[in-house]
Amino acid sequence: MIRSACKRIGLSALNAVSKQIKSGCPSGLRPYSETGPRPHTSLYPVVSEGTWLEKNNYAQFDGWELRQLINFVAADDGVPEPEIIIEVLKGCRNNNDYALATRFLEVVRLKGGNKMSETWPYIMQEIGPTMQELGISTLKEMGYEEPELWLENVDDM
Amino acid sequence: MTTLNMLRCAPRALKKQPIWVAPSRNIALTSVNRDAPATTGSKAVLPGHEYYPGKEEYSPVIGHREIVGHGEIPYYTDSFTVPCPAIRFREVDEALGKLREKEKGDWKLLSLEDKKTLYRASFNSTLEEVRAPSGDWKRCIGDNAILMALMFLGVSVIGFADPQYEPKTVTNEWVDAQTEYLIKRRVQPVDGIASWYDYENNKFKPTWSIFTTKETSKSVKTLSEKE
Repeated sequence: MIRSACKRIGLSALNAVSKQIKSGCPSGLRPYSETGPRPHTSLYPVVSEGTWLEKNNYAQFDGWELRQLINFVAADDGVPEPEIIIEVLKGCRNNNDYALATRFLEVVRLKGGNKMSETWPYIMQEIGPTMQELGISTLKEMGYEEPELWLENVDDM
Repeated sequence: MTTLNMLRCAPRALKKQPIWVAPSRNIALTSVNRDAPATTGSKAVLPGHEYYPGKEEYSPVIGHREIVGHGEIPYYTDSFTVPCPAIRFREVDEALGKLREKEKGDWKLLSLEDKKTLYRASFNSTLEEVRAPSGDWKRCIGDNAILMALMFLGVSVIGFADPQYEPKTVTNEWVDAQTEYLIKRRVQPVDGIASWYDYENNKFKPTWSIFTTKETSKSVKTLSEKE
């Protein structure tokens, strides 16, 4: 069961996203796909041909596997491309899980790190139409770009 | 070691509470419990109260929270490296059940409050709150300041003591009696006091003079003359 789940996740396929650099992409950054495959992180042989859209269908993923995919995205060193983000949001819609979509968007935003001010507007510009279609409100509208509540850190209790 | 581990269960057993054991993966043992689970488990009709795999086994640990991800023993953490934990944060209520029904429909009909409630039901804090500074440095400096204040208090109490106070062991009488005792016992005969005393002539050798001052030399002379 775990093996079939990993096959469907196919993290290696994340590295085979189409290599077109979109207009408006911030200079000095390269697309996730050009960072190359990572054999030490993939359980299966790395796929170098074909787009991931043909190999995987993240939109039909289970809630279980979507969360695993998001955890992998958080662990991996790069900001996912808008195509992947759109498919994950569609997967959240199919699983009727709104909270997961906002969590994923927070992860994508924070993966930018020091370049957050360059990557985040670009990504919002690319996925804005899909978000309006699905009815997901942006992080700014939710007020989650800044901390909302002050919660005591568990280590300080 | 297993007996000591079993003693950890003693408080629960005394209160007649169940003790939780991780469910085993042995198929032969678990297949008996897993026959027709849906009919035995769920009672309520609202979504969230329905049966999901692991509901009965893990409910003493996590309560009525839904399991949504991987994990042998599911627990909840807020972390940037593991943004999606194995369980939702809050337990299922009636109001939340109704929200979940609404969530299955069009998301454009959800109000902002509904969206925030849904988020807080699944997650305790946002990732920005995880990154926010905790202000712990104030507590550290404050605790240290309190300790330093106590130290200054102690020093001021002890430091205002009588400077004229002299312990009795420093007076000449005491020291003379001490040297007399040491010489009689012949302690430190090789490198110490008995080696600086001439037992045949009953007086100190000339090197003893480096230990004497004007005040003490009188008593030393009297000692030497006595013995």
